[in-house]
Amino acid sequence: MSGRRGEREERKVTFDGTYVEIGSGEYDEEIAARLIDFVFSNTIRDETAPNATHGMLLINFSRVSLLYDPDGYSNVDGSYEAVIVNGHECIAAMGSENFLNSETLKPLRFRKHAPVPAARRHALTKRAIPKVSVIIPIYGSLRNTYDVVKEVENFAAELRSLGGKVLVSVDGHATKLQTQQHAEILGALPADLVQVFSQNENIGFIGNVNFLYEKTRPDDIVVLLTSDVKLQPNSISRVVTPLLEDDRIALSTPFAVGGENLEAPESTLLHWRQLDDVLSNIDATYPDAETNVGYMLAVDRRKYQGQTLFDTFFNNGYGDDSDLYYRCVNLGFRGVLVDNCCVLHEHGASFSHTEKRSLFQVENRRRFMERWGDVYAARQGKASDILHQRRNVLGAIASALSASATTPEIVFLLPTNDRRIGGVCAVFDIAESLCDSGIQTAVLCKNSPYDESMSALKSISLNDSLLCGAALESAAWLIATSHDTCGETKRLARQHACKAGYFIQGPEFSFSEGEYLSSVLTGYAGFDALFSVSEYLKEIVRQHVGDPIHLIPYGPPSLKYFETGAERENRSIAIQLNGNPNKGSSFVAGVIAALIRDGYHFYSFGNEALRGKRQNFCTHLGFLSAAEKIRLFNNVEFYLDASNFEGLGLLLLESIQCGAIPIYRHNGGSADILKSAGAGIEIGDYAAIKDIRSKLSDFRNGSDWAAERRRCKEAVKSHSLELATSAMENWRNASY
Amino acid sequence: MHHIESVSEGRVVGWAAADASGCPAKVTLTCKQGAVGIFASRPREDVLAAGYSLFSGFDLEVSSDCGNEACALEVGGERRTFSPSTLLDQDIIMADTIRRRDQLSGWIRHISGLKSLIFHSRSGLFRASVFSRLDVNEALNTDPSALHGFEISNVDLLSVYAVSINSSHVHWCGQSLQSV
Repeated sequence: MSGRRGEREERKVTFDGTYVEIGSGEYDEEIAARLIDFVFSNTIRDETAPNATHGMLLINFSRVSLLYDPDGYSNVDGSYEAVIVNGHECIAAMGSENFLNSETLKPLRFRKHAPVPAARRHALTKRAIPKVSVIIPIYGSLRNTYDVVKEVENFAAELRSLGGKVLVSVDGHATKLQTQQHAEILGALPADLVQVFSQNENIGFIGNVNFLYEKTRPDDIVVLLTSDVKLQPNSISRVVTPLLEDDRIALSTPFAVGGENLEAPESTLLHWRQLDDVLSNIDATYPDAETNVGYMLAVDRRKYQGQTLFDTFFNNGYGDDSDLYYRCVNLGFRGVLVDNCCVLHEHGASFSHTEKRSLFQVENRRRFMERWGDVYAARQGKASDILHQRRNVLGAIASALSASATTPEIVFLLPTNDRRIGGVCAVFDIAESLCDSGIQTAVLCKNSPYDESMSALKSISLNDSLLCGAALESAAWLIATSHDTCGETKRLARQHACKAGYFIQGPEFSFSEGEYLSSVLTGYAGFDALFSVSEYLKEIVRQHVGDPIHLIPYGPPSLKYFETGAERENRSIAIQLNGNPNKGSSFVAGVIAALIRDGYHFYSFGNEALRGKRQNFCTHLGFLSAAEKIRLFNNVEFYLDASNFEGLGLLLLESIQCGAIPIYRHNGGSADILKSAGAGIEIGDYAAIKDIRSKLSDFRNGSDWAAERRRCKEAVKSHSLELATSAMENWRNASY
Repeated sequence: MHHIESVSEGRVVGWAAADASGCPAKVTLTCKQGAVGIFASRPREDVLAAGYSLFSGFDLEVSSDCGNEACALEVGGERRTFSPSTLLDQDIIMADTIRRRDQLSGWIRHISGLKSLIFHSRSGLFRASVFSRLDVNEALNTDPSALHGFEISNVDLLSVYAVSINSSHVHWCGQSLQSV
């Protein structure tokens, strides 16, 4: 039979007569099949008691009776024969009413056709409050693991009060050294609360999460925390509360700065910890999360009863949590946003292979849409609108309450919010670290073109006079961070009756070929306090202004850069080439010319526009993220610091932490520290380039590489973010 | 748990419950050209109320440009054969441009508009991007919010054997999709 679109033709039903003989009778199999299908085609018209049965169907042909009972025939007595009708098991007997109830031996009473019994209900039995198991998969960054230890220490008492425990699993790394380093850091955690596992092989994020999930009890509430999340007091309690209060809620996730679709309400003036303080005092409404996100995800195992948490249908890290959300909705549960809680998600910090990550995202999105595309399209828009409204309401409340929150005590003024610049990153690092220490700190920026949606501390545009005024209202200090912010800093400090400081990170009079010499030297004057990032810089500045100049020994955050134990490429050197001649590009060219015939390979980085433009002699890698720098500095034997001058060569410190042997000019800053300690390889001025072949050759032939790495690390150990923050705290405490 | 509620010419209706993890069940349609798997995605409150899962329903129109060859529906291990309705490719896909036999743009006559359009080829699934075509809305007298336009690239049109529209209509393509 055929038909065209939009047309309906009269259907003619014909029976071909597929008779099946049984005994001295026969029955029509096609009619039987159609009747069974017809009668049992609507098996779920209403809900029934759990012990309800399907009902049964008796079909009487002229000399044969056929009985179909989906519940089986254990209670049927009589003389019959089992037959299969279109996949359905039936019994057939000669004549009619030959089927007897085996217990009464009376003819069976046919039950009215009834719906399929309920297979699973949501209602939970009333029972004691479930225990909470926090599971934390670990991979990649040692710094994140270091932060995990601090977070667990912070919430240990809260978790103990919930009868909880922590399960941590370190995934297998490319080298055993990395896995060991993670395990050593985690060794500081209390054994009565925390159980640590180490994987021999790399089982991936999803594999690692599922491994931990299977270690929890079937009636636990499980809280998945990724290693790049920071919490506030009582975050765990707040996140599990909706699961305890509502039997329909199986998943919950708090707001996060860096929370993707669950991004925290806009609150420029408030640090995320202050925002959480505000939210914690607001009644939660628990809107549908649509979808929950895996950075902090509470799962009620009493409701979601799948054997694993994430589906291995997905690659590592993206889409797996959204899939879990829709699977729970499919099972009749809700996944909610915990709208009275905010955490910090530092976003993807555990993933070191950024290129693969973007490939994962594309592939996982394809897989997600294949499975849930229609459901997502039908639901997501409406749910997103509700979330958006809730976020706006909470943002307005937070803004209204921000006046009552602690206003910044220290405010930095930056020329830009481009955190790819080392000096800018340093200021944000210190400001965020001070906030974590309880000293409210804000950052003003003259230009703020860069997206900060995933940053713990967002900058305030200097053009936003209202917010700037609010930030400076009670500030004790406004601190300039470059020569082109000095004038503005002094003016604003006078206007808001606060003290003015200058955080000096380099010999700025030499910048841009000395163009700013005059303004830099005059700019040093008139500040209430000066700060420098190295002893070398401090001595230089002291030639122009008197004390006090406070040393803030900035450096990379502890364990952010580390040795992975990977095998290094023979005769390989990393260099920075960012298009700025002050970074010594002409010196680099001389070094390359001197070494290229000895088979050295150069890897340069620092400017995306230069990618691929220096293919003759070195591989240019463009701009590198922290994870990519870790990979590069662990791949090369040497790092060449060719800068003409430095206040503090941050890249030199980072490469040393990764085990690259430093080759440096005597350009001040970090090089000065290394030279004083006799560590690394100093190559002096341009004329000394002629000696570099023999210096590297001697080093390669006769040195103890491991000992040299230790010596370099020892030389720069007095510079780190933690020490810089501590120095700021000491200065701040002494200044009152 | 599943149930095939009706199998009639060109249309199959039923439900199939998710497994314990909530992963939706898959309905597979096969014919001589190949197979098309579609996740059950229609909300069925009745199925959920009976203790199963929400996104359990399927209601699929099945058409073919390959004559009246039977095709099969398979769900939860149960298999039924039926005849698809007969439609020409041009009744489904109206092509505007075809380039290099791997790029196709045009519009779909589907009255309720496009939500998703997937091309099933020997190389896998290819999801077309869909967009508004007001000229088609006007010609078909459909609401402007109903999408009709589509575009797809990097799919070998010669190897496409079926398209699925909104996970509710599966069309077995003839041998000449590339010339529609």
